[in-house]
Amino acid sequence: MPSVRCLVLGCAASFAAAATPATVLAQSVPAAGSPVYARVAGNSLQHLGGYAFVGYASSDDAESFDALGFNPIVHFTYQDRLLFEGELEVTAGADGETEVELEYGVVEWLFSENAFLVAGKFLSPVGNFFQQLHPAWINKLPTAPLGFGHDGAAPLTEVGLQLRGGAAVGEQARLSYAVYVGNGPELEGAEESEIEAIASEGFTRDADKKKTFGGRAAWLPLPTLEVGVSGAWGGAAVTTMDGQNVEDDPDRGYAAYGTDLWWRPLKALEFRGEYIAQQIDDEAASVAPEGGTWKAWFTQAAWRIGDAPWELALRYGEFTSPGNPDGWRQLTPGVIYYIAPQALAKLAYESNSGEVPEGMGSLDERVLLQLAFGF
Amino acid sequence: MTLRFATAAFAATLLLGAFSVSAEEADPEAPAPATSTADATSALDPMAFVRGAQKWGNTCARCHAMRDAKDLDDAEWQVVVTHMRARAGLTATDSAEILRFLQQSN
Repeated sequence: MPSVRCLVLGCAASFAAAATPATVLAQSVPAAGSPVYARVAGNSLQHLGGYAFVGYASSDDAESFDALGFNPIVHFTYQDRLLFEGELEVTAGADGETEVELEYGVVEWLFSENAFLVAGKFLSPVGNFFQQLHPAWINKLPTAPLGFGHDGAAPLTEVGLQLRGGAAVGEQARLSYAVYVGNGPELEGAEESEIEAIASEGFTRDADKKKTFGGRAAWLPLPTLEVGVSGAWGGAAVTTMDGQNVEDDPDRGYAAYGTDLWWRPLKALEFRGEYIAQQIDDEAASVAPEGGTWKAWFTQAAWRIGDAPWELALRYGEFTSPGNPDGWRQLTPGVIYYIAPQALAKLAYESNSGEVPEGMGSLDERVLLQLAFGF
Repeated sequence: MTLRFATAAFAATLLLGAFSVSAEEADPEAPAPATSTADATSALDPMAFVRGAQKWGNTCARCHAMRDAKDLDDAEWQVVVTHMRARAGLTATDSAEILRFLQQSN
C-alpha cells in the first residue's frame, strides 16, 4: 500500500513538474496553418480508421465461414500534444450473437520530445506481436501464432499508466521504450483445482491488490533490424473457478518475459521471431495452489514476389502450458494477394501436432481463407 | 521491495521526461519543441522530402504494407502520424519528416 501511495505521489510530482513547461509549450506552437508547422487544419483533428475481416476454415470435421470482425478505431488530437484513440472489437460469435468489446481506449499526452504519457486501457507492451502485428490487415497469416491470442502465453491488454517514446542514437540507430504500471492479470481456474489460463484482457479492478510493472525496450541499430526485450512483474489471484466467481483468493507472484526480433536482409524478404512466457508462483492457500509457466514462440519468414502483388509466408510456432506440458506445434505456410496495400486476401494451410489445451482447438489440419481490409 | 523499486523507477522516468521539457524551454528565444523544430528544418531543407520518403519506407514497413499517400488528406495524415509516433516510438524528427513527405505526396 505505501508503494502505491508513493507511485501516486511520484506521478503527481511529475505532472506538477511538467505542467509549467507545458504552458510554455502551448504558447510556442506556431499558429494553425503556419507554413513552418505541418499543421493544415485547426487545433482539433480526428480520423476514423480500423479494419475488418472475414474468414473461412475447412478441416475434416468442420467447414464454415468461421471469423467475422469489424474493429473501428477513432483518433482525436488536440494540437500535436494530446491524442485520444479507442478501438472497438465487434465480432460475430459462433451462436450468431454479436460481441462488442473495448480493445483499447487511451489518452496520450506528448509531454516531452521523447515521451508520451498514456492513460487508460492499452495493448500490453510486453511482447511485440499483439501490440503491433495482430490486426488482420497487418498479420500476414489468417491466425495469430500459437499462444499469442486469448488465454495464451502473451499478455494482451492492461489498464493503467504507461510512458513510451523513442530516441535517435546517431544517424541511423533508434531506441524505443515503454514502461507501465497497471492492475495486472487475473487467474482462471478449472476443475481439479488447476489454473487453466492467465486472463489479461485489461481489468479495471485489481483483485490481488498488487500492481504489475513492466515494459519493453527495442533497439534498432539499422533501419532493417529491430531487437526487443520486455518483461512484467507483479501479482495475480484466482477470480474464477470452473466458471464460478472466487473472492479473496490470496495473491501470488506473477512475471512475464519476452524477446522479439525483426530482420529484413532484402527489400522483399523479412524474418520475424518472438518468444514470450508468463509465470505464476505456487500459493498453498489458494483454491488452485499450483502455479506454472505458459510459454510460446514463433518464427516467420515472408517473401514478396518481385513487384507482383503476391507474398509468401511461412510460420512455425509452439505453445506449452501447465495443461499441455508436451506442447502444441503448428506449421503454417500461406500466400497473400495484395488487392491494395491495406487489403489482403490470404490463403493458408495449417498443420498441427503435439497436444492441444482443452477448449483451444484441435490437431486437425485446416485450410484457411481470409479477406482483411484496413481503412 | 521489487514493487517499491519499480515505483521509484517509474516516477523517476516521469520526472526525467518533465525535466527534458524544462530543458527545452529554458531559453524563451529557443525554437519550439522538437516537432515544430523538425518541421522548420524540413521546410528549409530540400532533402527533407527525400529523408521523409526513406524513413516512411524504413519505418512503416517494419510492421505493415505501405499505404498510398493519397489514401488520406493532410489533416488525416497529421492525426495518423501522431498516432504512429506514440505507437511505434518514432522520434520527433522522423515523424515530422514522414508527415511532411506524406502531405507533399498525397
